[in-house]
Amino acid sequence: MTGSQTRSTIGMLAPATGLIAIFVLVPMVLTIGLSFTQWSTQTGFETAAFVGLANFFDLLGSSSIGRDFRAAFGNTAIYTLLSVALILPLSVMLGLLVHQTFAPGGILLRTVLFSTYMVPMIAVALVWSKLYSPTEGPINQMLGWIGIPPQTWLSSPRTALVSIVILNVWQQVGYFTVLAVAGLTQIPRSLYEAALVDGASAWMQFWKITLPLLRNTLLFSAVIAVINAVQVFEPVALITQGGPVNSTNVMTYHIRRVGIERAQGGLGSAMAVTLMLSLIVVIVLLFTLLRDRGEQK
Amino acid sequence: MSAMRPYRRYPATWRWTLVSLLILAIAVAAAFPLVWMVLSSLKTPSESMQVPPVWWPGSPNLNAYAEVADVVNLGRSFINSAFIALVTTSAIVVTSLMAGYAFAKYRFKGRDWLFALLIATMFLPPIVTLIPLYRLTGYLGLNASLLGVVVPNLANAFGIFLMRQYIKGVPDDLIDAARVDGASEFMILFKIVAPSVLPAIAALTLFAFVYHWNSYLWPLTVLQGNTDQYPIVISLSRLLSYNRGAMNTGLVMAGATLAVLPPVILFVFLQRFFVDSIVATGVKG
Amino acid sequence: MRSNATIAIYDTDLDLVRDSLVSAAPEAIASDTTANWPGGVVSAASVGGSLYGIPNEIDVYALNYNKRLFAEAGIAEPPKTWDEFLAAAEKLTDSSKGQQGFGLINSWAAGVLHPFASLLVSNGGDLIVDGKPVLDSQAAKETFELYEKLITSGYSDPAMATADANTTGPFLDNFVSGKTGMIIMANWWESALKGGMGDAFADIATAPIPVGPSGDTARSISYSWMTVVNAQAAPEEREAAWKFLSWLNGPDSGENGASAMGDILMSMGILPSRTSDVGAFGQRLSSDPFLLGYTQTLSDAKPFPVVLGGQEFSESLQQTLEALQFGQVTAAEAQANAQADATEILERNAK
Repeated sequence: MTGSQTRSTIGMLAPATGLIAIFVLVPMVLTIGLSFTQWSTQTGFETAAFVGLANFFDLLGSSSIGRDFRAAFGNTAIYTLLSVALILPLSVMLGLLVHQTFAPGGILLRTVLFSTYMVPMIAVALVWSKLYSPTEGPINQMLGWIGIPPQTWLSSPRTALVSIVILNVWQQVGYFTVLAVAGLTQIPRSLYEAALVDGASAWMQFWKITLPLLRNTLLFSAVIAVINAVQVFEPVALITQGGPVNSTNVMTYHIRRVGIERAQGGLGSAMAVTLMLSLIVVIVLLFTLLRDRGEQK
Repeated sequence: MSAMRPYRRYPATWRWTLVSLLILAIAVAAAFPLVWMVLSSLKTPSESMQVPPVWWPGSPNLNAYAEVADVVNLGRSFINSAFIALVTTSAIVVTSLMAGYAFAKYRFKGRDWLFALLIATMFLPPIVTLIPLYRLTGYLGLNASLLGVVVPNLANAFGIFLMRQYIKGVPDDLIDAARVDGASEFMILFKIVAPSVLPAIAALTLFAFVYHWNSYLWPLTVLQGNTDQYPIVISLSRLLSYNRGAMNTGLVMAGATLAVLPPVILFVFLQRFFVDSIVATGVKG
Repeated sequence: MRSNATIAIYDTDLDLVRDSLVSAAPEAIASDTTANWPGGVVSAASVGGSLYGIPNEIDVYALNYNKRLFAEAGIAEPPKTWDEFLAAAEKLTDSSKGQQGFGLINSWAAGVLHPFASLLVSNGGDLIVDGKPVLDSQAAKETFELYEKLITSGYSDPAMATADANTTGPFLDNFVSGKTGMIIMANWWESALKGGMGDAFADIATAPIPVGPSGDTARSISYSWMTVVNAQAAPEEREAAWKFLSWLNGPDSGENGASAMGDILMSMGILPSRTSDVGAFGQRLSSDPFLLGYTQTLSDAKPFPVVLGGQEFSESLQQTLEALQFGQVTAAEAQANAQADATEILERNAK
């Protein structure tokens, strides 16, 4: 490599990599370091006092630190699981509707679904908090029309978390539908034509051709959906503040509350590290389970 | 229609109807919350408090829009949001083009390793770095200011990834020819490469603009309650508290409608590129 | 008026003192403040005997009730004791109309905590004494039991108690639409009630918090705001800031012996805390019937305790109270959990 090539390489890479290094990688390393300290977020890093694994023991302990953290962790796990379990099948179903050219309206559906993805989560939370309103809200009213009694939605520890999952799915499903459509367009038409010659029903075609060939798309969707789900913050911060009875306290909200609002920087960092390690485990698991091992080739 | 499709395999009228109706029903259901938002913004305060809820405003009016502008400083919030979204978006497009070009067209030691490291940051939820980042921007004197919101967000891994995917498709011959003509690398990037990846630039513009217009967690944290600098989404979240004197649902919905408009309008114009870029990053990647 | 050297904070944000971010008031200002503000308010602005800020806004709590519902239920007077309170709650409860006697609040820390704390102090109890939680007291036991009684008797429906976005949501809607007979809230929600109720706001009246069996007089918890000075500003900036604050909150800056701050607060319908301001605005305060239940209780108010880790303490107690509201724990369990958690939290934060 010549000197001028090296210079242009560095010149091209420096702004982006420099910024990402300073504002993502360095804080990442700091988070790991701070997780072993007691440190007030309001003061400089030099005041951090090394405490070994004490923060992590607290997270596992029986005090309110441990109980709240584990509740937030459990809530986030349930939230993530439900989100992924709803989003993936919905995205495939909606993707098929958008992709098909048999009936009109595919593009309209894509546009509507995708525009919800453009809406700020804060606005989504505001609107849904009104939709869910037990007496003044239209959802309970509509349920009433078909004879279903009013639901508690955000007002009960049993239903609050699920209610937030639903608004999250509504906001995000458009993005995943487009991913699914992208996957569907990659499937060669010839496969379906051959299946038709063999007399396979549409149902069989879906299970034998469509779904297996969507595997990589679904893997990618699942990873993105997991990452998005652990970031849920706005509806909790705006509507439920983790309640009722801690039922909607999720990791992003809890870590911010501990690390920023209570200024317990070391403890908050330990929670962040635990979250990151858990995410790595989940993503590795997803890859192991869903990766196309090439066995059908 | 049928004249163009002479090979219907079986009579499909009822299926056609069923699928069309299904699509219509889903589209209506999906649009419902947003339609409700707009309708509510046009209702009178007493209409929005009624039980059972009133669906259609009796005398649709824009009073709530005029009022909401006074309750939170809406004009200022819009300017703040526009500043945040425009500055981050332009910077992200430029830094991503540069880095994407280097990763797509240069050969250098450790390239794949560095690229993998950057891509890994794409999967890092922002909360993981939030606490030290807040102190870091404090050291830089950026806290409680709009600069604090934008400076950590001038580059991102997704942009680099997207640009690299598209720039890889630009023929090497084109670039080599320009080099032979003595063009500098920056000239090549901005005069030859960038124009040939315009769809990617459009998509990234939309992604970045929408993301930063809508972003809440970081501005809320770094602005430390400095209300003058609040973007629209934070001002909106303050509408629901009593001390803002905004008990009125119509007001909140008017504010929400206004906040939703810029990203949605941008989406309507750039939708095609957005979808294509998802195909490019989600499948080919 | 904005200066980088001054910051407005809630009294419980005094964690800032631990991190040396706010500076102690100069001697002259400290003694002037001690002389001119109620003792409770001054103590709320102090840590370890030093004053850290000049108090301004004060929030107290009162029983808000719907006179129309009271008349329908045949109740003549607002309840003065817990027995009367429970009797009223029973009469006001009508599940066939979806009507509850007393409105609890959940999913909002202050909303959960302050009604409880106000009932507790009105029962002669305290949250924290000398930096140690005293939720194991008889007074606290009775307060937890009162909550349990409200829930198990159906006088309060926790599903009607949710707050959205801090300060609005079903708990408010239900009071506004006449489905909640009584609720305990702070004075600053008056404008929200007016906005939501229109003419029906005339049905709303206020009264001091009912007195519990162990209490002597009606009390409320109080919360105050104060302005502090950034310890990291330059010395001359800090001096100028204190001087400005002293003037702003002093008797010479407003009209008729009121402070300019008092003027600002009153124009927003907020109670000022300076003793001479309360006097200067006496006429206006007593002519507002809604504020009556609040001003009556002002002198007997107990400040929300200032401790390191106060926010964590509040959020933890909030959770316990919500668990009690939703029937997940009994009163006895709630009391034991609350005391144990509070002890651990305060000990850890005091380190």
